[in-house]
Amino acid sequence: MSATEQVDNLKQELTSEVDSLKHDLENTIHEEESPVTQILNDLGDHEEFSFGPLHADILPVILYDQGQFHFYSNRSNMVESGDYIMEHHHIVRSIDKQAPDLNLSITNMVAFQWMAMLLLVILFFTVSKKAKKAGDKAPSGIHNFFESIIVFIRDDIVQPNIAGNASARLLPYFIALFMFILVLNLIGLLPGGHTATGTIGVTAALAITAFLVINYTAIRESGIGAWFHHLLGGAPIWLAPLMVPIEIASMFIKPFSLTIRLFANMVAGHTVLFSLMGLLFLFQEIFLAVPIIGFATFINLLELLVAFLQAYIFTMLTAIFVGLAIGEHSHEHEHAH
Amino acid sequence: MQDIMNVNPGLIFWSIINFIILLFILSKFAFPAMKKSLQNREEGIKNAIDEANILNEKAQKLLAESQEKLDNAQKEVSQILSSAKNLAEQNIQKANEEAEKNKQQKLEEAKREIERSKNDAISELRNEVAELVVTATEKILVTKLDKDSHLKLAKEQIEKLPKN
Repeated sequence: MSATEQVDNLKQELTSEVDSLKHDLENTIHEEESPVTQILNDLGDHEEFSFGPLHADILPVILYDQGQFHFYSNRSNMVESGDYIMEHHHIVRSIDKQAPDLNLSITNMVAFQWMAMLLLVILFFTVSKKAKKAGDKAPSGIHNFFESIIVFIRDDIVQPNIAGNASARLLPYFIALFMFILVLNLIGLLPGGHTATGTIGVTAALAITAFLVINYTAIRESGIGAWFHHLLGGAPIWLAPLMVPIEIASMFIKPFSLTIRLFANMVAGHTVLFSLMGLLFLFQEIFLAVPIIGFATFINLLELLVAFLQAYIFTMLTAIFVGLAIGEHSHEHEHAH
Repeated sequence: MQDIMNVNPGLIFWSIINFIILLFILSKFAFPAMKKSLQNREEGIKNAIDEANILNEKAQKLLAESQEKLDNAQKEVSQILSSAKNLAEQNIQKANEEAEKNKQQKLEEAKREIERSKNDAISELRNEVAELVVTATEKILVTKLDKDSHLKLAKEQIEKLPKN
């Protein structure tokens, strides 16, 4: 056996060993059900309803794949049907282990949104009933509480930023937006609750509606011509090649910043909390619990503040963007005439 | 960890649907009643404030009016008082003057009366004396001399007497 052959053999052995180690590592990362791994998985979204330790496989799976829809009443039904299987918490085709084209399943976060919607609808219907009964009398209890929130949104968020009729017409949108984000944030703070606003999908959806509202209102209030004119950003016409791309980019950057801001703020607090809890599992030291619980309580209270703050900021910024979109236009209108 | 950075189009889709449904339900069934109650109350409060302002203005006017009346009355009273005082003073002065005048008059009258009485008394006395003298002289003349020469003598004697 020549020296070269020996080296080659050794190389091959080493490679295969490294490969098997890599494979083992991947398996441990994905399959090891350590509390830390599970907690980190819980941060994300799944096609399974979970509230704290409770996991219920009750959410329907809807897939659009290779030109047709697939409906399953839950995930185990889907696996039983044999078309798709679960691999590393993801749905993949059983044939080629590729993800389906479009996953429209009712996920955990959608279920949490439904909880928030249900809560809000019940609350506001109660309030509405009380409002009907109260007549001209002063509001009391829950009616008073929600009315003060509504008046706050109207007087401190919408009216200072949006001029004219648009503010009255958009008020329901801003109230719904504020309450929806707030309730989603607060549900996420419940022990075992999931924060729907801590996923990019949800915040992106809210930002997309905000984008539509901003541009629809701008066009409705100032007309399509003014809307196109605003792409110049007030600069002279010969600057159009520079200004138009910038203004178009800014049009999309605004909702994008809304998306990332809310998402990052909601996830950051949770991540800090999970990291603190993870320290307990890492060190396995009972005395460490005292400072960690103390600090975690502090972070939790901070998150309570952030929950209100981010709902306010998202609503406020949307109002400001709408106001800017309208205000600039009507301003230019005045100049034009 | 990579899971949470994934943007799930299905989640976006459902979130938009959810939000639109929520917005629709709330703005269709819950907000109108609240809006109405809020508007009614705000209008009521505004009306109440307006009314209160009007009433306040009215009250202010009334207050000013009554104040003016009070002031006028006070002025009148003081005017009346001062005029009464003046009148009284005048009356007192007049009375004083009259009294003085009366007194003077009476005094003068008394003086005149006294003068006259005195004069009367003197002239009466004179006549009486003259008559007495005449009678006395007659009596003497009857006895001694003739009446006429003695009367003459007596008269001369009387003229020599001082007038008073």
